[in-house]
Amino acid sequence: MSGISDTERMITLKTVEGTLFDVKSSIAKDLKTVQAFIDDSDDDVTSPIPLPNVFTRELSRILDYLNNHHRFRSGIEKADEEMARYDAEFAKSMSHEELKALILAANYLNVKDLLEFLNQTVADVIQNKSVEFVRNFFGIENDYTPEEEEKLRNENEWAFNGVEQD
Amino acid sequence: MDKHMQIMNKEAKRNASRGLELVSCSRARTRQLADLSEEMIMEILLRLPTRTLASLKSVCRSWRNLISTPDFTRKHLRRSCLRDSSLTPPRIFYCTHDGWYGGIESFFQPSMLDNPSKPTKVARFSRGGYRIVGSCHGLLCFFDSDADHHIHAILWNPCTGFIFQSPQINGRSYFSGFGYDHLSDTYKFYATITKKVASGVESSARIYTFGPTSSWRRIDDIPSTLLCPRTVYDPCMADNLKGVFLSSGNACTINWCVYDVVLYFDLGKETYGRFTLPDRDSNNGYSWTHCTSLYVLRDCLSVCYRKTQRWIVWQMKEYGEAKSWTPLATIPFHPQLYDPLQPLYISESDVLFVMSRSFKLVLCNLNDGSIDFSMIDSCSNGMEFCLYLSQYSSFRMAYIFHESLVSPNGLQSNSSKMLLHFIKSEPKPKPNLSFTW
Repeated sequence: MSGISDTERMITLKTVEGTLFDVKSSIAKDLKTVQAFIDDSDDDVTSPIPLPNVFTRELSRILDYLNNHHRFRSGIEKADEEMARYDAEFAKSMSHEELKALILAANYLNVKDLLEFLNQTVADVIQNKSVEFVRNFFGIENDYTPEEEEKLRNENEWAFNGVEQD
Repeated sequence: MDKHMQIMNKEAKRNASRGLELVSCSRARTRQLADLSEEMIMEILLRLPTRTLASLKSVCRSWRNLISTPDFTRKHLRRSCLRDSSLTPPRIFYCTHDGWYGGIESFFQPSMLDNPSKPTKVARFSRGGYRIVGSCHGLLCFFDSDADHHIHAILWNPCTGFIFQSPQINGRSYFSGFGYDHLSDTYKFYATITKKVASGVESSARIYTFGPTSSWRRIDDIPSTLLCPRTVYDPCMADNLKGVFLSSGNACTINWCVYDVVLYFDLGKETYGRFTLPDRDSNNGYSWTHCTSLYVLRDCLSVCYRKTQRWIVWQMKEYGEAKSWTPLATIPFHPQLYDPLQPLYISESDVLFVMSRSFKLVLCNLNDGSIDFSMIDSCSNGMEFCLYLSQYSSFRMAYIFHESLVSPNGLQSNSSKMLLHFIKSEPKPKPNLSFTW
């Protein structure tokens, strides 16, 4: 192994559009898919690693999130408050489509903490929303007959109270 | 580039088990958003409260199937028990004495002030005689009794509509209890059954394990206390015939308070045991005929005693260790408080809710020891249902349960007609709430 310490090494990632991102290896560790690739490689990885499923917009957001969280974690006081504020802004800054795209990318890259956060964010969005809203959000088609839907509604009568209108 | 593609493909194949689709480089030029896989959707759904999930079954067939699988309901239950209790907020279930009506109410929380339109839910049974035994994992357990002295054990999950009725057993039930046995991953109903036979009366302890082919199994070596007529017919034992289920450490037990001891039945080992209640020496002026009831607070067995000018709530910190009974809260005398006091629940902010007859609430802040008597107006919103119920013969026990989507493994509803249906309560005038939290 070379004498260079881990934190100095840079990894280059290439998105679908061909954009190159230089990433510190300490950050790359949180991208478990990329880390697995590095671990599997026989030699040191020098050329850019292609990510055929990840677009520039998503990778940029993911790296932004990871860089900020690393910064907060290594900070001294008030890290929790700042992190909560950053997380709230981060979630708010995305449309529903962008949120879904980010989940797909985070899932592919296997970024555990970000995925936890995104899953909770989506759960918060769809809670108290109508069934129709949820279908639109996930792009799901209703495959029930009207009679089946009616039957389900009756069975779950009380679960339908307290739901926001779209 | 080739070698890199090979290795990334290998990684992608590894990821394929996580439900991803490999999009080849050339096609990926267009913004083709693949749908979230079922596994990804499950991770999101696991973070939703039970009622929301019940309604989301209507999204599409695959969601209904996903939400109903034992794997999902178990994960959701575990999550809500261990990590996030907001997924299954506590509800109260009431039952009238004659067994005709039962009701489900949201637990008293400050948020009820913000959301006064939350409806109460009243369930009317198809006939009278339903006695609630207890609840576990969101399942409510009853037995029905009718003049012919047949008994069925009945399970109901109000959130999913699951209803299961056991086969019939002849006789009358006295001591009973319901709980989950984690050793066998089954839900069990315990009852002492007495029936008339040619030579007189025959008593036995029976277990019914909820399952498609189960029967009422006999258990031997029943402690004589549970059969002794003096105990069984003692009026002050009336509320204590229903055992309290507790899952603690390695044991899942049903517990009964019988005078000054707790008698328990271990659901896994199917053996009995006993330990003493706290503070039972004669100096305290405590008559042996006085019975108290058992409750569960934060997974610990609890009792509430009346002493002169005050009540004391005790908690058993280590199950089975009589030495570990610890006083939890003291409630001073108040002219509107009557026995029995039922300690119901400790909120996340460490407030102990104790209910007295006529729906008076006492809030004990466990952190600073402050006591608040919430004398709730009989017309207040959250008590609409209580007012409705109070027209009928008074109930005694309120059961706390946490909603879930659980059905016992491999069990489908077996009631061809709904035993229960909800009835709409009449709208009441806007309340004049006069309490503070």
